[in-house]
Amino acid sequence: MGAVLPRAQVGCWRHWLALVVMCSVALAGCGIAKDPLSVAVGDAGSSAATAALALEQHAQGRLTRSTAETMIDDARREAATAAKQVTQLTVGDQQADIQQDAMDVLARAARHLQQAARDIGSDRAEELIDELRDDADALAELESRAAASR
Amino acid sequence: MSKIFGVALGILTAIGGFVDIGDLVTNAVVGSRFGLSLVWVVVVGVIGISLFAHMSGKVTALSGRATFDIIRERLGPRAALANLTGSMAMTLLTLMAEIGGVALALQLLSGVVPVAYVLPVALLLWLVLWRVKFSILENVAGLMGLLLVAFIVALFQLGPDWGELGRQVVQQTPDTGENGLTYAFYAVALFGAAMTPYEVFFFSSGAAEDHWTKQDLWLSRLNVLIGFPLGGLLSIAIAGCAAVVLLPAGIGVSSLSQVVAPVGVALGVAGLVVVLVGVLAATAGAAIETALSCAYSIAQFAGWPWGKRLRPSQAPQFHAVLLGVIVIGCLVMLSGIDPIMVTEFSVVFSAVALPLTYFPILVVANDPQYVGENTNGPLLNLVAMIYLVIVMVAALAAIPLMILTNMGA
Repeated sequence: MGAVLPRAQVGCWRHWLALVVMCSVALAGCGIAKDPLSVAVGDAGSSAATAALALEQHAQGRLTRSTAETMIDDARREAATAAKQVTQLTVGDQQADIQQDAMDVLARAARHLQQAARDIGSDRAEELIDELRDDADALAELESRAAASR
Repeated sequence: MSKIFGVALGILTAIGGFVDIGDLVTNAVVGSRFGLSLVWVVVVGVIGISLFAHMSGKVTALSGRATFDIIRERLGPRAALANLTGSMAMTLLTLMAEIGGVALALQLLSGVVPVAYVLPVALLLWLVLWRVKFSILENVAGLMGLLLVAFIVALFQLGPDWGELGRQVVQQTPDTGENGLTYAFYAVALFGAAMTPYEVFFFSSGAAEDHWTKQDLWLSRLNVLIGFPLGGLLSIAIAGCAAVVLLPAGIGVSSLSQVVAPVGVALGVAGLVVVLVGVLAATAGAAIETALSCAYSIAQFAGWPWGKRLRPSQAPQFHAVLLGVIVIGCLVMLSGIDPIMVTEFSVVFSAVALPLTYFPILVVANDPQYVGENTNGPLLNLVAMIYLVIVMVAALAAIPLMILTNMGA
């Protein structure tokens, strides 16, 4: 662009870009971005729902074992990351209860995800699907509470 | 008869080659979070890429030279270097994402961890690029990519509430608990995925490899104006499948396994295997295109001999760059970095680099020195100028939106 725009205009363009980026960072810091607790809890809920779908569809013969296993592995990894984020977040008083509840549900979901990886294709799968769906519902509710409480 | 076959083949490969890992992931993410409310972005993006790919093909067919070659001559080395830096960085990032995409598709087919596939995939990519003819590469990858039509079949098989999907398309605002900034971020990402810069440079250099002349202009028009929009339908079907299966289940896409799961739900194991082979072909084809695009762009900028038809001894720098970018892509993906994360960054930064790619093409397509009397008409220029404004807005908004939404979290 340097050859197209005069030198002074190029400098001006760069300053405006820097200003836009700085304003964005400031706005993000001021809380325009989504609430981090609700984001982390939402990610964990999505993971539990994914594992439930993988178990269900594999049980019905619609997913190959390798695909279902990969889905569950991906879900476990995402849930572990989300759990770490929830634990490490510093939240205000209005979110302390939600954070604690989320950690409890996440611990339960992590257990169910581990069992899902182990028991895929077994008789226990049906029971696990219900448990993972319950975890996903509980986490979805906590996500809404976290977003509303901010 | 052979002409009809040539046209059909060109259109089919344009459809099959349209979707890459960026389209697959971004459309599925958007479908799982916003339903079909961002379909308008795909439509805008497909019209844009068709428009500029057509201009790019026209320049090559009429001048016998690839667009990047002319950009350096027409705009000077400084502007061409800015163009090269922006588009190369994005194309290299996309190459990494495509290599990762191939590895992920193989994982879904076999259950073996993706990092184990990176080195063999890179080696095979290099061998194929070295030994296989350009036309075979182009046609095989494009035709196998057509297996992604399974997404369209799956969408119909799922028996969705078409009225609800139509409402999502018309409503065009998020109503799934997502905020407006995240919606805007994904609009920009989707636009970047649809208008990926490497596609036009590859289209232009590929036309030069195929020795297009003025007589091939109509073929270029048909490929672009029929093939690309039909390829765009695949993108919409990917988003549609995610909107029907994943959105109601509260699943936000963050992995390739989630992208293809709706096809399994709709069509069972056979459909899933078909779509996975399609994903494999689409990502492998795009890896070939991005690797070649890197080598094309650098060689054309530097004035080196270039082209797949030239042996390494005839174009040593071109082949060295080709090998170099594959090695870089391979090493980065061997580090264990998440290919989906690389893909997300690649589509966002593609949006940032869009003006660097598309503005010079418009300039060259209007220069009688290269296209003779076939310069753009006033209507085409008007639409292209509107697109340049859209592209500038997307480029300026991309990074602030990325920061504000924490990568669309």
